Amino acid sequence: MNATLPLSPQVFAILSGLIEERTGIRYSEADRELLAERVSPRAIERGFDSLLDYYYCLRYDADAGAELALLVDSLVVNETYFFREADALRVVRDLVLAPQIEAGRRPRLWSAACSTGEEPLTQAMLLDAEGLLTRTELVASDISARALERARRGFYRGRALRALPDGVIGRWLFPEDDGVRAASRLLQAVDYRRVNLLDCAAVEALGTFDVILCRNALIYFGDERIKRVVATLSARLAPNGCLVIGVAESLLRFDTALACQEHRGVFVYRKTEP
Amino acid sequence: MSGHASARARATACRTLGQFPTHPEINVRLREALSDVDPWVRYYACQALGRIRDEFSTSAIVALLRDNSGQVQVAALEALARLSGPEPLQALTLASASEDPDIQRAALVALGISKRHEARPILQRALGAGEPATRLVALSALAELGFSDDLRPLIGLTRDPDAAVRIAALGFLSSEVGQAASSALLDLLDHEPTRDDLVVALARPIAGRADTILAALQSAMEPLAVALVAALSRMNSVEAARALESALLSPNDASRRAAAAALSARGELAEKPLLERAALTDRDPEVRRLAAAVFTQ
Repeated sequence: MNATLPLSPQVFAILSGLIEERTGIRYSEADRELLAERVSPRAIERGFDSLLDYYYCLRYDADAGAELALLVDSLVVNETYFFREADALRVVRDLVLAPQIEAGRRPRLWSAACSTGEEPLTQAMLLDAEGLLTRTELVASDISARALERARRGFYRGRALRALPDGVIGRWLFPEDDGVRAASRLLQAVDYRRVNLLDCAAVEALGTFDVILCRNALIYFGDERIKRVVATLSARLAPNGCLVIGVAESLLRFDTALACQEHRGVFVYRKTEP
Repeated sequence: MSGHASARARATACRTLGQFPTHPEINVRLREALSDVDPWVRYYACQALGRIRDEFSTSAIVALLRDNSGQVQVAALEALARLSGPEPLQALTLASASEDPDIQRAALVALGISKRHEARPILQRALGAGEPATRLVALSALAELGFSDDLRPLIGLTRDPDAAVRIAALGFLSSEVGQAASSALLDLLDHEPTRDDLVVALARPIAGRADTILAALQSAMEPLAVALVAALSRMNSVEAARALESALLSPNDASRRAAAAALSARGELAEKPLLERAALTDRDPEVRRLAAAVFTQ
């Protein structure tokens, strides 16, 4: 049984404020019940029967950092699948990565909110199909330690496989028990890191990239956080590098340093100025 | 209790003991737990001693306001809310000015729980805090004391930039009994007649409110008349139904039009004779048209 602890408007205000401050994930007043449902299992697991007590745990406990990481795991929706919005991944391969390789460089791609790894592995498959995988550096990160652990394991089943095109099974994914396991050369090609996109120093430490994929992650942030995250990501783009966001997301209402360009029906945000 | 190996078990024990009626043996154990090595044990011991109003612990709990663990400080504040005498009030007043927003908020909550009249000016000042969460906490704490006759701070917060504060302020204002709160809501609606949250607030079935709305309908123009009738329609009470019927007999054309539209939409059998009369005899053609609509449905 999943019990939900009561969440008063006052406790919601301070708890959602703390979560937004630390992770960027924003909950509006309309999400109060949703937040209570998501936070309650963690609070109960820690032995609390009040979300105010749990808030004080996150705020003051000696172990607050580790607890917050576990809470983030339960807040972030890790809903993704292989070949999700794959046209965008083909466009960046052909538009940015392949020309760099032809020019004798080793381009870098960062999947900035990779969840359980389906996105970077899809990108790895698309690169491998063109013989470009070993000549590209792939970095993938997420805020959730649990999601990254699953990404590194490379075992998938069920809904993660719902959009697989023909020819993937047996070439890059291999049946195992009730699911599939990713080819070890794909897993080895991806460098997984745990990164909070609000942590500027951690993002900066990753270096610069020719492509940054940050798809379906900005929807969790408020406008101010989006501006901040986009500015941080823009600073990590190499000249002419491009940022790709989800098809349901847009940066057009923000004043960014990036130019929105359309290629084969896919919108990318390009760094046209150094 | 402090000899038990598991801090979690000791904390759970303190939390549970606070839910029992006071007993000398329990009180002694809880007082001992105030100096437990684990902060969560001290936290729940504070809460429990506050709940059972153990006045012997006052000084020890005040001392925990300087505890190294923040959660113990906030639990001490909560406990002091339920303890009498000048020492707790002094400590709460001091903490309400803390730079740590959680300590400040915990003190404000505690001042509300204490229901001491000295808390009112402190809580009213905190309504102007920069942090929306602090304003929200101060507002809820003030509600514990009651808003007395001065509804101005509450009215001001119905226009707060933060949605949660606005919703809470309107919630408190709408549930206040008396003419002053109803008049304040009417005044707000007069300025912003399209604000649905104000209509919902006004529609709360508080004694006398339907009559206040009906009185306002005697002179209300559109769109205020429509909003007032919408509030009566939502109120779902016998008084509100009577007020709606009276509005259909009002000398004010705007009120009769709004009432005719609302009563037609309701389609209540008992109201049909009234609508039929309006459809045949009202001097305003729009009222006649709206009242007749119920018979064509």
